[in-house]
Amino acid sequence: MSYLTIFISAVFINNIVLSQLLGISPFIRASQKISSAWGLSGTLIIVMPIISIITSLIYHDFLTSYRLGFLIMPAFILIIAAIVQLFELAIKKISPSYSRTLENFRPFLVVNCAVLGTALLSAQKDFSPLHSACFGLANALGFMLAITLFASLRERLNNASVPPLLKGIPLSLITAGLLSMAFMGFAGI
Amino acid sequence: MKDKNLSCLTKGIIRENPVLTMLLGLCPVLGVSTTAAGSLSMGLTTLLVLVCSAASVSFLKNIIPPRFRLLCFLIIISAFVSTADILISAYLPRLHKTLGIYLPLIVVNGIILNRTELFASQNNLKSAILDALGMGTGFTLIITVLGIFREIVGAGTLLGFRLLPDSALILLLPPGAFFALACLFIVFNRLRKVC
Repeated sequence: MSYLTIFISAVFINNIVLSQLLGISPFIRASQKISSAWGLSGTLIIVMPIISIITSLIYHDFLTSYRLGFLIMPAFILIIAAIVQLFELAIKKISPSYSRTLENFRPFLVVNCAVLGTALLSAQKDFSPLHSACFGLANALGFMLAITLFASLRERLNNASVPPLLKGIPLSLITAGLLSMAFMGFAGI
Repeated sequence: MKDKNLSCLTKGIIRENPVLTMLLGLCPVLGVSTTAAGSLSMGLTTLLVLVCSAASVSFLKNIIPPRFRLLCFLIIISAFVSTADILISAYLPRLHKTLGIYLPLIVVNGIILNRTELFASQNNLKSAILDALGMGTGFTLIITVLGIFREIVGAGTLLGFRLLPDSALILLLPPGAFFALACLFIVFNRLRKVC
């Protein structure tokens, strides 16, 4: 399978949030402002390719060759937690102001369906390490595309007058549903 | 004392429902709830994992070093999820196929980490188990209601029996998941205003 196919399919056709329904909690909770949405998705763009490549290496060279497939979940979740921790330490040195915004959505980085889901999906599809790095990057970009669209729509909706029963979460969910319907249009490609 | 235990158990079901008030665990709620049977089994599996991990965390709370709290919780939770995964794939292979990727993703279900970190690690064994039971029941309730609604409207069947002659397929697709959950939120907000 070529890199381009994996990339296009992960960003548009099988978008991680809007058609695979992974990572919904951070998608809804970090999208109140477009700045926090960008902070979260920017972090994911850096972290997810690294996590994908390391989990894929561990999966192929260690877990499957020693028949330790049942350890896949503890192994993957520990790798994710370790990489997120290392990333935080690095950010603290490089840019202290950014690390303060990072504090707010730290739980979304470790306990994120999208991150673990990407690692598990690329293990399931038997991608090579480079293919899974491409898959991880594409999923992070897909997340960024979806959350940017959603956060900008929500910022506009804050100024609209809506029925009080719909205000807040129900209206956001309907917006997300309409976005997801729009993304279904890519299925024809 | 008895009242306190009871409120520990019941607060998670409606009043502090983890899905509706804290927006936790939305991935499985949206992803699995296409059939009533599948969503009920997902809810029960999560309930079981939640109770087991809350009990172990509460039991081990004095041994776990505070600096590596999160890592210890994640290892405990993933051990129970792995066990559930292996048992289900051995005894219920069809269910294993329906749940697919969402079964291993119970590890990152926000409800479990939230309850173990905020409640079980600070309370005694009994109230941790009661709290986990209540929260798990609240989650199961929401995912099952959503599953029943989506199966009846989207496929016109319930547990395989045909109820409606016609159906709206959109409810079974990803956009339908968002719309169905939005309807549930509207009903919940309405009820909360009345009570």
